[in-house]
Amino acid sequence: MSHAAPPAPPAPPMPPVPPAPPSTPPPGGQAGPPSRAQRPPRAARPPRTRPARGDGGRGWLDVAVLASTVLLALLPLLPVFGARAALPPAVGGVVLGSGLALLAARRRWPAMVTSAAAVVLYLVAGAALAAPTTALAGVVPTPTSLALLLTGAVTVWKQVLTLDPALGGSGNLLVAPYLLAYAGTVIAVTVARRAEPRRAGAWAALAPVVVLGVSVLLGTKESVQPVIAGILVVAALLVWVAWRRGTLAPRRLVSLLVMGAVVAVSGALVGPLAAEQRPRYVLRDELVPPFDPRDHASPLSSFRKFVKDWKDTDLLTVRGLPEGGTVRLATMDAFDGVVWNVAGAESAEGSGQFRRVGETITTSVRGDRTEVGFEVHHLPMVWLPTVGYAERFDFEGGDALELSGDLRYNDATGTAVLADGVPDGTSWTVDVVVPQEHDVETIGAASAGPVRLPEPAGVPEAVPLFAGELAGTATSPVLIAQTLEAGLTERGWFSHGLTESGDYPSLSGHGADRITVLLTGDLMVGDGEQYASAMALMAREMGLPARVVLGFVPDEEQAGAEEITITGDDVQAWVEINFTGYGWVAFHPTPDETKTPREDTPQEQSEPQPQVRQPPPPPEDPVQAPEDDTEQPRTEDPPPQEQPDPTLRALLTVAATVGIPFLVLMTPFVLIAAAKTRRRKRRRTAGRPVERVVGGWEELLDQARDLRRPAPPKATRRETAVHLAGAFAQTNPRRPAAAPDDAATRRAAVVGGPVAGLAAGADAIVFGPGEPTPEQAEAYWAQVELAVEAMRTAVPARQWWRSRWSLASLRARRVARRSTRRARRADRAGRAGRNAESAAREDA
Amino acid sequence: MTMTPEQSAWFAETFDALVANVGEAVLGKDHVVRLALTCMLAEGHLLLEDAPGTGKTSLAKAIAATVQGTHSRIQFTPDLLPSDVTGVTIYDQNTRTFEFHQGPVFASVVLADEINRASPKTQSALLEVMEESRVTVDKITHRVGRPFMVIATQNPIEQAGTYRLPEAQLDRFLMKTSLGYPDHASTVEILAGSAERDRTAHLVPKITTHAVGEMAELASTVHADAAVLDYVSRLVEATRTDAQTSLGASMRGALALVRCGKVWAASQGRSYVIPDDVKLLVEPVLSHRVILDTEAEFAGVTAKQVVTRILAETQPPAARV
Repeated sequence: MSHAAPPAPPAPPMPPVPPAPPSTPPPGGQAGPPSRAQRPPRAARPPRTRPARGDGGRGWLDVAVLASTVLLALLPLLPVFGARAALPPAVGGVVLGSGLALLAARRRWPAMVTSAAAVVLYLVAGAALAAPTTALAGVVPTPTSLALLLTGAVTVWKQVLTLDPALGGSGNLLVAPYLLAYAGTVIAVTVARRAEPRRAGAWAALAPVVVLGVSVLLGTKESVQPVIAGILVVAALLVWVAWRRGTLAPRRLVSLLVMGAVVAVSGALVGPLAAEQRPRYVLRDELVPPFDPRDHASPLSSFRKFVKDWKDTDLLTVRGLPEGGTVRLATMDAFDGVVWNVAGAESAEGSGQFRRVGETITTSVRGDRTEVGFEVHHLPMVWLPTVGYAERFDFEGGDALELSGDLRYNDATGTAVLADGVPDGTSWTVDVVVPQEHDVETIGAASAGPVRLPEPAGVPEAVPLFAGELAGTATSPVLIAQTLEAGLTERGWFSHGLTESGDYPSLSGHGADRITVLLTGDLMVGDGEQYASAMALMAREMGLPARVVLGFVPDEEQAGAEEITITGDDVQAWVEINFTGYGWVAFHPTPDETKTPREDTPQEQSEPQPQVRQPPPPPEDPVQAPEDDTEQPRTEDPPPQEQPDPTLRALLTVAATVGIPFLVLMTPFVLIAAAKTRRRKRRRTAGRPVERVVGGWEELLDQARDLRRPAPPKATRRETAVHLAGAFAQTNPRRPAAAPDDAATRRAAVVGGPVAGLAAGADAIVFGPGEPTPEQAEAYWAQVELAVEAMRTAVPARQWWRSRWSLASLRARRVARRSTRRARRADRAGRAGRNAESAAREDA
Repeated sequence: MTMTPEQSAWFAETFDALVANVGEAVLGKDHVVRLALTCMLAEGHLLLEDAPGTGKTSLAKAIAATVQGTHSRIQFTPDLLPSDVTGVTIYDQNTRTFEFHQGPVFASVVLADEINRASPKTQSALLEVMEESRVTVDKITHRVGRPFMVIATQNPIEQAGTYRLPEAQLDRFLMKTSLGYPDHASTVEILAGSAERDRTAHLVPKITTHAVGEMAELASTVHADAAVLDYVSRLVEATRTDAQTSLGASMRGALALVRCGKVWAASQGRSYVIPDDVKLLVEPVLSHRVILDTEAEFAGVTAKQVVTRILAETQPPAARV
């Protein structure tokens, strides 16, 4: 530790050798950091034992508490960046920040110098800690890294919010944790070390709290870290502040624990109510309104559009599609009786959520990694074609940043969307994992996957019947799936239903009625839309987690080519079923495109069926259709009916969340206020007028006691009045100022005058001859109120508010009552003892 | 019958005038002056105990001079005889009768200087007069006048060859107090007027003996509430049961406290006694009536300290009983 500029010896300038500094610690021991003038000059420094140490112990504790709480406060950011990326800047920032603040405090740098040093250190160390990719050898700052650090301080916040975790350490993203840690500790430690008076240093505790708030808002919905960090930070800081202000008392720790328990219990009771419906608020939500797929039409419904309108349109070009690979457009797992659609974020967990993505996407799917390039020619939908499960999107072209900001990805279904639609000409590459294909033998007896999907609604009755008929004898989940697939491909006929181009008539749609027609009609005819829907419904009916995928399957002539151009004719829908240990396995229930019915096939059609399997199912009445028709409006209706329900429930939940803990916390205050009001009323109205006057004086004393200015014990009223005038001259009764100033004299007069008057008045009434009238008592009480008002103006507002909830006067009364009782009992015992004694003497 | 507000105002006014008058001779000692005048109006006797040269005699002379009446001074010496105090019967040859010649004790205000220097016999003679307000010589009783106040002084140092007043006789004094040295400002003022040999010489009487009697009558009508009387009795009982006393204050002490309290209250313009009055008077009225335990005495505790402690330990009344 070097002291570059030892201060000139303060005392006499004449002697050449500075007088030996006193080596004893400054009296009191609780003086602030050694001031410059007190510090021994360098020449006489060797015995730097006590003065530095005495304060140093406390100082180091300050630094340790503040630094560790800032670090804890950054905990919610860990999942945002990933622990590996976020730890170095956070820890580094905290260490550097406290170091700088300590140095500045020791050297007593002025604010300007401290700030400048802080900025310089931020830039120098920041390159290595927060922008390592731009620094030379990861350490030496380059102009780029400096620029990034400077701009990052402003821009990084939005970037952190707009990217989906984990963000990693690219660019200057790490400026966020680094700057929070660094600035938080610099401010906290500086305030703690340099605040005057020392107690004011407790304000330093605000810095970690602010850091915690920012990092929670910047964080994810992960609720574990913020809760732990919050509890630890608040607990540590409360204890520290109490210690720092010198008001740390074990009794308070107990009450703190009790309060903590109350909050925890009420939180545990109300928490589930609120948490079920309302995820924790983070800024992320505010900035990026979550994408709701329900706002968009069912992708499967546009199937007919693809094959009809865009039959020969070049929709997109795919480069590097693995052989046998398919292009996925949308994955639908919610059936509402009319359409299959993509489930929204609130539905079952198996449906996943559409989220913004950061640099990379973590996927748990195993398979071959490859890179696939896409170029969209014309695809006017929000759905972004993908292959397998994506790990990283790289858009190309000028608007790449906007597009990647627009991108949402659902890692559960492997579906991507561009919320504002996919512009023509968009091109990008995706690093994907193509899951391994499993055949039926491999899957064997694996059970149905433990995936929760939305329950299908309005499933036509034909579905379970038909499924039972097809797969009733299948022995394992995968065999059920296979039987359903085979049943449909073998029994069904293919037609897009485009009658103009000579197709066999087939209605579009895949709702309950269409599926009923498909399964029970004279001729089973349809295309991918109907077959996929039917199979998915049947599989779900058999207890298999199934979903419908809309995508593209390249022509056979193009399969395996490096660059494949996809047209509307390549659109296909298939089914994916989840098996434990094997993930989602695709099944293609659509009959071959060449298996088209001719005009005269119906009769023939009935023949192959008996050959293959059982006789055809008994024809169902078309009565089914109207039923389905009635279902359609129903699917529209329920939402409006439910709407008031959620609002009401939300209101109730919020009310309960806020109200119950509030009530629990307020109860003591209400009880205290009630007890005081009751006491006051009793004093004012009960008993003889003399007693009311005495009560008025007691009320005044209790008011003073609650203001932490208790009357001295065993004093007369006049003595008490004099004492109170002196006590109210001080703004803080615990730390009397040395010399009374004008304000103190004024306060003493403001309170002392009325109180002295009340003391004399009470004495005159109580000790004077005769009995006072009730009017006199009432007049006395009016003066008591004036005096209480005078007390209020004499003390700081904070003390006044605290006094209203103070238990001091209530407690004092209890103690007084108890001691009178004890005295009475002792008196009685003493008398009994004496009686016994005299009796004994008489006996003798 | 209680005092009217006019009466109490008059009493306070007169009392303040007396204090001011005495204060001209005894500078900066208002409180002691008030105590002394309270003692006079309570028709009691005052014992001043102080080092030489603190103005004991000045105070006594000033009080005597303030009251329009006779005043005398007896310098107590070891050879002073009782008859020197009370007076003697002398045979008049002309009238052939025995004639009583009144001693110096026949005066409104008697200053008994250095009372502890006289023999116990002489002391007793004075103390009997103090108690009985009369002198009996040769079986003939002679009443002293009214008011009658003895201001005795006593020197705490130079104890050699002195006769300490017995406790029973100390009890006869209503109050015992001390003047102490004047403060700085008063000292300077006294020095400035040092050319004047006797500051009491030019004092003019402010009150007639009759008026003193009236004031004493008036003061006795001051209301002392049962709570205050209870407080007094608790204080006196506390002196008796205290661990550091071998003998507490007598009943006479309790009565004295109430009487003084009434006068003091009236001097403040009040027609009722408050605990503050009692509190203030306890030390001068009670401390000379308390006899300390031998152990406490060895430990250097003074009676004043014990009384002060008892005062601090006793809860003054706040409400009626």
